[in-house]
Amino acid sequence: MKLSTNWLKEYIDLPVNNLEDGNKLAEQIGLTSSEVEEVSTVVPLSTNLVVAQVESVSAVPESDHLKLTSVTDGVQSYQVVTGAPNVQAGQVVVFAKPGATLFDGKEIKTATLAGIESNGMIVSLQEIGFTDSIAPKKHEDGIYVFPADADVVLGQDAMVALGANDIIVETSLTANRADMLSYLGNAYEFGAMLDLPTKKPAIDINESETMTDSLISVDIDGSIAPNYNLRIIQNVTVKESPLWLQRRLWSSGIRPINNIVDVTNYAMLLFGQPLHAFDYDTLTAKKIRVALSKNETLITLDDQERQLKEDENIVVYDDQKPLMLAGVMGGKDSEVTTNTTNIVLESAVFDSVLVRKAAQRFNLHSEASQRFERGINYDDIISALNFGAELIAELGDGQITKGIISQSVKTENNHEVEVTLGQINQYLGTDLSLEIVESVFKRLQFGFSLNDSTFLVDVPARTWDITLPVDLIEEVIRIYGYDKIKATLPQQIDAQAGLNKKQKLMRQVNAILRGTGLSQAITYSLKAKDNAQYFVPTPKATIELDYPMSEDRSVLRQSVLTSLYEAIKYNSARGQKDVRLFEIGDVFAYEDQKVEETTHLAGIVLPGESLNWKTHKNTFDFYDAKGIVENLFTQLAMPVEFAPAEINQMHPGRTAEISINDQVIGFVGQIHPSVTKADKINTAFAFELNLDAIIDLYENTVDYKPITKFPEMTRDLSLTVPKEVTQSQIQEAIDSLELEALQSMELFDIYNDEAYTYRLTFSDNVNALISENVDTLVDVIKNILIKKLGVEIR
Amino acid sequence: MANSLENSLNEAVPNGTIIEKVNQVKTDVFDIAPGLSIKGLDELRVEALGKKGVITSILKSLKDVPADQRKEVGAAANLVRNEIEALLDSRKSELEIEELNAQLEAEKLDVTRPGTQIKTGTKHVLQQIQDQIEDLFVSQGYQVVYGNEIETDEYNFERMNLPKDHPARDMQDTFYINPELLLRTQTSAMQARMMDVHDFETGPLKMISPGVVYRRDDDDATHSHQFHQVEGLVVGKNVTMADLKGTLLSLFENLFGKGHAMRFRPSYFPFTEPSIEVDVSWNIVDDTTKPEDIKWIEVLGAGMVHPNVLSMSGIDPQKYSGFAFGLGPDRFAMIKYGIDDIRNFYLDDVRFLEQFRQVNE
Repeated sequence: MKLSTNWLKEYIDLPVNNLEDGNKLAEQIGLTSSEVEEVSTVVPLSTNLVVAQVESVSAVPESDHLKLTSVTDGVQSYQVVTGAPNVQAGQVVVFAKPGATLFDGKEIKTATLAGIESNGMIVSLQEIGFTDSIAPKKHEDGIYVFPADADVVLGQDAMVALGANDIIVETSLTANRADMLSYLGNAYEFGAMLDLPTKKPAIDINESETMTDSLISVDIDGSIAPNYNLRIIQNVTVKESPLWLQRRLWSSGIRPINNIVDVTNYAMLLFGQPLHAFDYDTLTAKKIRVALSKNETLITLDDQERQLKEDENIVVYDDQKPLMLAGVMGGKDSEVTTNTTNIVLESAVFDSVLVRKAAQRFNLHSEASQRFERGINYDDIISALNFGAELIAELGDGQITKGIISQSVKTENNHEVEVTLGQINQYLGTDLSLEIVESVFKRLQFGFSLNDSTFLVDVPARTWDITLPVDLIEEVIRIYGYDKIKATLPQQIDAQAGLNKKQKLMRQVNAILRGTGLSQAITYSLKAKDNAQYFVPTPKATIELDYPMSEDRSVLRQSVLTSLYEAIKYNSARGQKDVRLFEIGDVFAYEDQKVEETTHLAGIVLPGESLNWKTHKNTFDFYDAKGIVENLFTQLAMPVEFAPAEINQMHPGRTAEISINDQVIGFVGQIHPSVTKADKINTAFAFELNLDAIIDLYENTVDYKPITKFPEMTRDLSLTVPKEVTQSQIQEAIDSLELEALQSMELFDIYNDEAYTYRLTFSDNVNALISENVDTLVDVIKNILIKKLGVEIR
Repeated sequence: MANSLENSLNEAVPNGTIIEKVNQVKTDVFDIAPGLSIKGLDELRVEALGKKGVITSILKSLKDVPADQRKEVGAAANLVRNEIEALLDSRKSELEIEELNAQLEAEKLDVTRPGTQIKTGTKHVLQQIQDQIEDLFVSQGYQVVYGNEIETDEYNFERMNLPKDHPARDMQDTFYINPELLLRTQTSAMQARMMDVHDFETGPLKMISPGVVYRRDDDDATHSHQFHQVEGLVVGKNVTMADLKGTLLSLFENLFGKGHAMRFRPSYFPFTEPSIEVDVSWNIVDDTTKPEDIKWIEVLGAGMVHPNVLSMSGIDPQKYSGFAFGLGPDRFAMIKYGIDDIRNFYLDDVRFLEQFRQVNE
């Protein structure tokens, strides 16, 4: 809320006279009440602007729009040529004297216009920094003219006359500070903060003999308008508001319109209670009805036709037609215009949820709606109505009729909340005394009684959301000061403290993959519909957002690779070669109509030429990718098996699925050449593993075997292998022999894709190996390979 | 050279005494040795001192020396023999040193050429910060829980004291999947899940929950529809706001180093009361720092767990109290390293990723 400190000073003696004071206050507000957006003057200041009067206006020969004027600041007259269409003799205006510097740096000098010397400039509000959102509409096409009865004198600094030098503190309020959406609420708040007394505006009401209930009747649905009140002011003149009122409005960021609308805004700013003025004479059957909407249209004050839906919004009707989208914006039909003479003034409470929905649906977040949404101070509903009616009557020369028409199912005045000193200190970890807590409640102007160390606090309606002891504790500490809390640590530990198995393994996997040259990436989980299922062996039903922001981010991914693939494309497009990434992240799908979220681990390599003189000849291929995966499982001490597999977006002849104990947990391979080619990137390799499955299968045990005391023996075995025979068949054939002495078998050379050489290592824990026996074992191996697989021994 | 010593001996002192003979051998060895290679020296040694060498055969004739002189002659002859051996040894080791030096010279490398590249990867900077935070809180007796990114409206909002029409829901625009399911907007969703299952008989619940969260934000330099949060929650007997303060101080000391000031400002979250925003000073602050010279940066939101949140998990707010905080590793990393675009974290340009190699002290 934009707060004029000049206006606030009517209710609290704020020590603010310049921007520096304002900033100091803002600092304190920030630590006690609310964030402060900005401290500023109403508009950026200009210099050498004075209040002046136009003495005479005459035509400029040879110009159809320029006029020659004489302007006086009360001391001397200035000859000024102006293009202002609305200039007239006798007007009191804002005059930039020669030598003036406007807010935007523009300097005003003596100039010659149409051959005539012009000394200074009569300015519009826009020319001195007023934005259209606060400058009165009345003067939008020309120079600003002070109202006839303005409290200004010639020669006076025009910045002061316009109140433009007022220090404005703009707060940015959280949803719980409904009380700080009014000047009075802010006065209470700052009074508590600064320990200063506050004043309230005086409200007298002078009523005529005419009975209000003879002029109008109401029919209110109390479930949507729990408190509803009307007054009628007759025989008013609608006109421009006096300058003092306009100043307060534009200082608070509100544009002056006319004396009736301005008063409703003024009372709203003062009390936080939105008021609405209807033109009485537009009402059919002189009846006000508040009900839920039907399927109908309403033209609101901003000239927009609003399509209302059955039972969705609160609407104020007359006997027949909708008058207003209640709590949000008034209707065009009953708008107060210059022809209006009789006013119906409404002060009500509308259901906050319905108002919020209407504001959202029509994107009409008005000053009124935000106050209804956050909650109304029930204490000031009638005060605001009486204050507004009285001011309308005064400024519009009208009469207030006798009595308020009210229909209220709910009144919410002060309420009591109990809190003990022990609770306060226990909750905050403080050692506050009774006196300190008492002084805070006094500063907040909360009534209370004290019984031993129990406070029974009489919480005023303006802070209606203080209902629990902890709410009072918050009030105590924010006024007393958060900086006075000392720092301690919770003493006990959680019985489950520490990282769990999954978390430890995730860290381990991260370290292993980094060791094999992959960097950790973090990518977006939301993908486009067409690629959310890329690299998924068996795609499932996709999980889609109800209302996505863009097609590209509308579906949750079913593989991590689909995101990592984006990352290598991104890198490749930016000239990066040799990109090696991995990610541990979640994938999402419907399984039997239930949401399934699984943690996966994926890696991707876009190989590039190494520029190291020792290694640049090595090219990364399928077996390097497989080696990364094998190394991972070696480090985890988990035996895995590889088998050929066909997987979407993967090369059909260069992809292997990976299993542990016959359970498939992922795949490794080359990305399908047609995929990489379409994206104009080089051959790339990838793997994706179900990390949750791996973690389930992982057992943190070491099966220790003593090291043999006897020397090992090795034999090299060279085979010519038929094309259709795979390495895993050779492995399986040898494994099937279950030779206890065969410790390991390394494939250490392949020549011409058919001549394999293995190094077999034998050892025995019990006896020293005898060379002849080892040879016999090798013969057994040879025999089975020849017989089963048709390999030749070389 | 074979038998050269013996030839020389026969030539020079055919009938010499034992001493004359060994001295002759010595003279010959001293003459020949300097010109020989290591191999030649070894051969000469065999010829002179070997089992069948000349000295050995000369000494065999000791038995012919009269018994009263035999000891003296023997000692003198052995002395000469030792001199020969010493010469051969020293000459050989000289040659070995020369040979080694020549080899080392030949093996000289340009040690300034780059070493063999062993490519290793980097941990994502956000993971580094997350791990650092996890380690700190594990050391303070917290458990770490991750939770799912797809959450129910109930746990994400309602159990956090944010009923369906609560105005604060505007603060975090949500990606809904259907009216009940959504992408979690906050890791706070894990609060209620953990409070539901924790056995308070065993002591307090102390947890942090790091993870990915989502909001309906257009991606730009400071907004991302996907980012990270670490939620912290402690619920137990006598947990106070002072405990919250101490905990956050230890966190900031861990993340930013010692000497930074911290302050609380009032704020509002429906699931805490009181709620605060926490600022940390960008600069190091001591007793001499003027208040106006402190540059504050907003780093996290926190507060005391709202009694409604406790009650909804069946925890008696009269008996238990707690604090909660939520911080954003993305923002921390941006502040710490001066990263000006949050999208860097998710686009994974290797030139970005590979800069973050340092180990946290």
